[in-house]
Amino acid sequence: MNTKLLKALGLSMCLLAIVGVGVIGLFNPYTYNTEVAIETGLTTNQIKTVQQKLKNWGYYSGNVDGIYGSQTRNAVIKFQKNNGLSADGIVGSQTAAALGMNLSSQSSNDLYLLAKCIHAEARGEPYVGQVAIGAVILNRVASSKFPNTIYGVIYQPYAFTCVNDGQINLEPNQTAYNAARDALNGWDPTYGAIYYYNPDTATSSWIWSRTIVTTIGKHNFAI
Amino acid sequence: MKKGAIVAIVLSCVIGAGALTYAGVSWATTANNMGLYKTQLEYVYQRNLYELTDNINNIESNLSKLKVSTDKQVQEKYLANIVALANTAQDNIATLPIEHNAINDTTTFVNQLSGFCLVLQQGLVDGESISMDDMDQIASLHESSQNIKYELNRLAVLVSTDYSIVDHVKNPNIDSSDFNNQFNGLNNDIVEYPQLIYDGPFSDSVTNKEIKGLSENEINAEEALNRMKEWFADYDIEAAGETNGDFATFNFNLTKGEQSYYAQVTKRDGILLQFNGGYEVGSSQKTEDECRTIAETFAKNLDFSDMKAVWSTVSNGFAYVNLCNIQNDVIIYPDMIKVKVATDSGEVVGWEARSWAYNHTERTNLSPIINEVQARQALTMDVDVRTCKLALVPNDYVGETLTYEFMCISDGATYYIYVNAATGEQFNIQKVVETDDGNLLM
Repeated sequence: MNTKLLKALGLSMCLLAIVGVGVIGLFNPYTYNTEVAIETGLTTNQIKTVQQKLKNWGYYSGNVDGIYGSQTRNAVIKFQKNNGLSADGIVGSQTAAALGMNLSSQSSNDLYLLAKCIHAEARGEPYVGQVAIGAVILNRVASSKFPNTIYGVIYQPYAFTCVNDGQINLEPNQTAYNAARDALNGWDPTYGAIYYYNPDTATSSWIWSRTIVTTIGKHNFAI
Repeated sequence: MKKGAIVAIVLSCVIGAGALTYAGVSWATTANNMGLYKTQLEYVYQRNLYELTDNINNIESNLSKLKVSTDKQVQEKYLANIVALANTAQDNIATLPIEHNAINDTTTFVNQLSGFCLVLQQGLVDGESISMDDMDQIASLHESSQNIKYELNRLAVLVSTDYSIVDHVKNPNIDSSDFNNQFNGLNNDIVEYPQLIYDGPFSDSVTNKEIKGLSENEINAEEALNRMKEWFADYDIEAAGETNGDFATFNFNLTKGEQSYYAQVTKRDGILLQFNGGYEVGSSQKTEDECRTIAETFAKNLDFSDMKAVWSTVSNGFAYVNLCNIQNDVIIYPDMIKVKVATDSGEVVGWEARSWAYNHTERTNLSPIINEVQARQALTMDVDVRTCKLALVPNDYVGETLTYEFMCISDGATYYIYVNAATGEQFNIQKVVETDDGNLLM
């Protein structure tokens, strides 16, 4: 047998195997980017406070971005070691107390979820358009036509595209938080709308039958 | 053949086979996991469908018993059952993979059923009895529940044979066997849903509220713009369309420096209904008390002269101040305006006057029947009363009640306890809850 042919055969098998793994990897839905933030149980704002305090005291030199990455974690561990705390890199009640932070017993899960949904659905929209999305969610909670909790409304099947495609899990920014808080405080620029859609992309024929109340940014708001 | 070539061939075969095996195993594990997840999801869906069916069956039977019962205690029991069953049924519906427009009539039915029964139950507790009209409504509710029951039981049988819900959620509206389309039998044109008339949760009378604070006099767009220019003298203002929802308004975009805002002026009476913007707040310069005064002054400039700050909290650089009318030393809570003040510049960056517009009227009867000492008897001994004020508060859905508002401390927690100023009964209790994002009343 020809040596060149054999070499070529071996090479192509190698290539085939590599491509095979690559293709499987591509279609494997469980392949995630490994550079994700570490689970902390803290809100973005709390992480920012931790980062700011560690930065002031020279433990941390990264950005105050509310993302609990390895740099923040290492800074926490360094701080814990220097303060005689168990160095686990987790900001629990003792570490929080040593940092001079008050982790209150009640966090605002509703606010967080609302901010996540606003961020995922409307982050390119003007501020009031973001408040309006929050208001629609709260109007749905109050409406007889929809589930009766913020969780129920947001996770209702097919209700929000951002839940279907997983964008709801993006970390909300400060604007989305402010908009969520305003909506919870009763700001509603749509005055009772329970539907909204982007007229350029909406595909459901049913949604067009609803009465439009107002238009803010790219969205029509309807009842 | 050279030795090197043989080694190369063997090596590449081994690497190749190894890589293929890894890929194969990884694919098989994935497929296996997918199968597992799918089965588990199917069970979640099925459990919800069966529970929903059970709940509707039980609602139907409780409604039928209610129709023939005359004893108040027995009626109360059935009503309480229906409220609990309807709430769980609502949860079951919300978890099933059905599009909103396919199920919203049934959702409304279940929600209003629970609201209506809750109001009847409260009535019985307060010593009233179920009227003939209410009995007629119960009869029509029962009829609808029978039809819904029939449809759901048909579905439960379908799923218990060989129908997989998960396999039928992929192409809504395309295939007639699709899970979404299985609910066609519950649509408004097949099952009749009664129009319920009651004042309670989820009732139409609550959603279609009357606007008491505004007269029928309408202003035009030009007048609205002039008012905006007067109120916001150092802002650039441009018209931004209209809103025709519960309120009809002229809308405006405002800019000042880097910040942009959005404002709405009502067509009726031309008041500033709403103002808000994406203000980027810097570090705090103003105290909470200063922000309260800023909010009151801002209201005065907009011709809301008697508004006083009754509550405030600071969160993420903003002071949220609630303003209320004070009439004859009574806090008029239904006429509330919410103001947002940036604690860096002391500028007002948010205004929300919807409650005021809905509720504001001149109240005539603001005299309590019992005095403060009598009202105090409704408090437990171990609360430490800090302040006591007369307050008009909205009752649950429509109407208002005159109360004594006691701010109390108990076990380190702050409570606002409201005692009915006519009957001396406890009316409502609010607790101040400290969260990461400021104080909340719950």
